[in-house]
Amino acid sequence: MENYKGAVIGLPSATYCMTAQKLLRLKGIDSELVRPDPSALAKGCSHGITLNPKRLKEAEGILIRHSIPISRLP
Amino acid sequence: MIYFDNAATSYPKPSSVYAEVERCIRDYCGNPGRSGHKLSLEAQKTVYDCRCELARMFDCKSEENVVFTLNTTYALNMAIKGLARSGDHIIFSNIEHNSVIRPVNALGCDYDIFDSTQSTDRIIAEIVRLIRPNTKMIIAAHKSNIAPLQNPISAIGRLCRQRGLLFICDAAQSAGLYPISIKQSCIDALCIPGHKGLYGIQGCGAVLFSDAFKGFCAHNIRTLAEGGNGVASLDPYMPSVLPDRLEAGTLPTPAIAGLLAGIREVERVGTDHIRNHQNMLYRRLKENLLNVRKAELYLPEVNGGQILLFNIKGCSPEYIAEELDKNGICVRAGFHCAPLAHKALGTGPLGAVRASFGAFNTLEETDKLASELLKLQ
Repeated sequence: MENYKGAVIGLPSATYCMTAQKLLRLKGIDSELVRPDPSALAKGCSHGITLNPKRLKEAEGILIRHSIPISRLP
Repeated sequence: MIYFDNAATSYPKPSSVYAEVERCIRDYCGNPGRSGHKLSLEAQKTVYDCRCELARMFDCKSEENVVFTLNTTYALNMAIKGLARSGDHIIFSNIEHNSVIRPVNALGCDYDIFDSTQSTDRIIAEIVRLIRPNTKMIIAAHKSNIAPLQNPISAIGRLCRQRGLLFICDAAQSAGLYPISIKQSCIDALCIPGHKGLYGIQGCGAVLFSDAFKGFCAHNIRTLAEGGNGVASLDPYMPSVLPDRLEAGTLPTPAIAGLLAGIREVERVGTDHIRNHQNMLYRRLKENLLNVRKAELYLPEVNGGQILLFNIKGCSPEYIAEELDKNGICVRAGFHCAPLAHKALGTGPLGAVRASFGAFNTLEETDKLASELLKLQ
């Protein structure tokens, strides 16, 4: 898999990450689970997925349509 | 050894369950949802796959709404104490287990009890009569844990939906044996064990919440326990979303791995097949016991089920269970944590003996049980 570091979508938990990965895979978008740097988050440890920056907006749209709570991380 | 105590916990388990539990402990038992390393991620994948299987099996739209617990008792405590408040009124049936009766009493809520031994129409009419302005929820076991008694959960669910009440369903005895749809039966919280009809090992159960609690709507559920779960560690409060809001501390990954293998085995064999097999065992034992002169059968008119309740005149239930145990047969005597159901069936001051069937029991085993009982009279 390509190194997609740079485009990260923050998600509330590991469970949501796996649901998000499943939904994106159905649309042909590959992603990897990551543990974002806690310094980027007000509440500390969290979970996220990293993906091709070119497909970030599309991915965010898919997840929002499925009521997945997301946040964009630096 | 002949095992007829499957209503307490199923035994033996499918070989795939033993194999997967061992594989988990040896090969990938990291702490799920905590870390980004391979072992943690593999454990997390198994946990997630099990959530998805449960969501699919019980027609729950969102796998995030599958919350793992220690067992059905914890699942019921989580749902009841998470959703009811002091001052609420609760209605439940007279086939409920103590895992419903005790949490409701501990909450200090007013409650009324309906009689599950009636027809569906009469049950619904009785519930309607019992509803008060402050009624919050109805709790109903799908199947009794002492006899072939049941609640009409779809009719109760529809009534709850019409009246704006929450519906909690205890599927401790039916999960894995009967098709259950959270959506079609309008269930808000379905409580299931992992170690009975789904053939996992002990240590894991689940609550499946309806979509009414999806996303931040889970904030309305009061937590039963608080602690770490690898999410938002700087926040002194539990997360607002399921499943993390209600899953504090390390999950029992080996038990969840076993449950996943158990579900797959149940689906491979087929719930209809397992249920029909147990109905056949029930009928055979019932026919045999009708020839035991001093045997008292409860609900002898019923022609199928997974549990047969009986007594032998002149013998205490505990004596019968002890004598059977000496001959290598496991049954359970007493009140089975279901005092109201025993009262409804009129079993008397010492309770009764329960023989509960599993997928691995045989006709020969039921014949052996009957022949041992013949010797007791």
